[in-house]
Amino acid sequence: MIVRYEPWGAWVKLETSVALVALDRDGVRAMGLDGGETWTRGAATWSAPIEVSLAVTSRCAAGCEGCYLDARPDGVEPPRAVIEAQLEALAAAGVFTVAFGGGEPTLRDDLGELARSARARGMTPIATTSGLGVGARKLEQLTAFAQVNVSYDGASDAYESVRGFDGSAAAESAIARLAAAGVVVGVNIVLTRATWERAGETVRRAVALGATEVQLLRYKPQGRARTLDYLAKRLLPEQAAALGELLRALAAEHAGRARIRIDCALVPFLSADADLAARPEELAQWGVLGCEAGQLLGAARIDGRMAACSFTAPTELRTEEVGLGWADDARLGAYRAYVAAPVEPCASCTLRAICKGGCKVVSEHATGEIGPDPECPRVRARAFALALARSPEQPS
Amino acid sequence: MPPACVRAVRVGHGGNCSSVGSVIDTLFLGAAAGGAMLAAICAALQDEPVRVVGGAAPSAAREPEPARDEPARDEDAT
Repeated sequence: MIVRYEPWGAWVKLETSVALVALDRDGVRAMGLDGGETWTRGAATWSAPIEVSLAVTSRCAAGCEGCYLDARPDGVEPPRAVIEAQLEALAAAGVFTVAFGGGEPTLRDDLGELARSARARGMTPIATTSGLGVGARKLEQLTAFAQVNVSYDGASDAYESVRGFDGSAAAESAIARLAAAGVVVGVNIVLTRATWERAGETVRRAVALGATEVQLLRYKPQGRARTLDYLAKRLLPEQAAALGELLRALAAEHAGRARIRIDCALVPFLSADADLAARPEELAQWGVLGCEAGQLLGAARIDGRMAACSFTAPTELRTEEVGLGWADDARLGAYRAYVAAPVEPCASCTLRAICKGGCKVVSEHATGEIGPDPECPRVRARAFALALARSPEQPS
Repeated sequence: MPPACVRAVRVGHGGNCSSVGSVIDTLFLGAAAGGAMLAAICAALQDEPVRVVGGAAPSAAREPEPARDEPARDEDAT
């Protein structure tokens, strides 16, 4: 196991079971360990992310119309030595998982070697791919990863509704061939108001093809999705409010065959589910994370600068210096500040400690500042109530 | 390892190119199944050799595991 001390105890990454565990100090002591200076110097800051999204290329020929990074075929590809130096710094800082992305990471000829390099440094390498153009050579490279996630929003028109073209056949082929090659395969399903209706069918197809993990992601207004079209694609309020119900159904249907995951930006929608909203301690115990931008999550951008997450603007902190600068970077601090002192209705929400105010990318897009996620059902309800309360005072 | 010392368990590899994701089907397990999973995690915590990363740990009582050139592929927990 790999242990990273924190002021409250330690993160422990198990290697025989696929799990990351947060132990309190008594638990760490029960293993015969002691946090030493980390426990005695008293600084309760985030020392480093536990997960980093690492952009290894900005090249991509897919041209998805909602690409959050605006990746293009003529993007840049840092030399291997640059990526190696970043991996070294991330490992030294105590990062557990490195998620290789891009652009399309399989366009790199050295992708497999980079994955093995991450493993040799004790980190878990994950890759995300569209599946487009994944032939035998690229498939072989992907076997070096602990898990490969294939972007798959559904069959034919469901896929096309998100990305602007139908790449579902390539994605389905990649899922099947990766699984057949013994790779742990997950799928990423972007939830829009169109794909929502077919989410059950999409998950069923992915699991039948060999996926053992399904991650549902929220459509976010960044990159090529930062347009008015976003308003037409984002989930309807009633869909957002029904997320808990969808998750319950998917978990029941695929129990024992595939894990169901949600991304950080979907967590605020759980506030509309009476059962889940009443169980914040259980959500915390099972490691459900909301907005961890600039805290447990970071992103290494293609130019080598760190960002709070893949969707946020980069800081001036270089990836090679993440261990020295993560705790004190001012731009990262802006994300942490809201989490530490949220306004209503986040302040009184039962899920506050987990959700952490919802997706800051959405709030920045909608209001120009970091604040309550405007698409959260609870935030919507409060805005509606406030509007109603004000309405009698408005001139007719 | 007393289960009460476990603040959180994140099942799965984690990691994605765009966001932090969380397994949620564990939330819908019954108490018995959830308890069994937690017990398995606690047992694993006592069994594996330790390697410390990310900072000084001068009082570590167990010898760190030597660095490996090529860690073995993780096995799926479920």
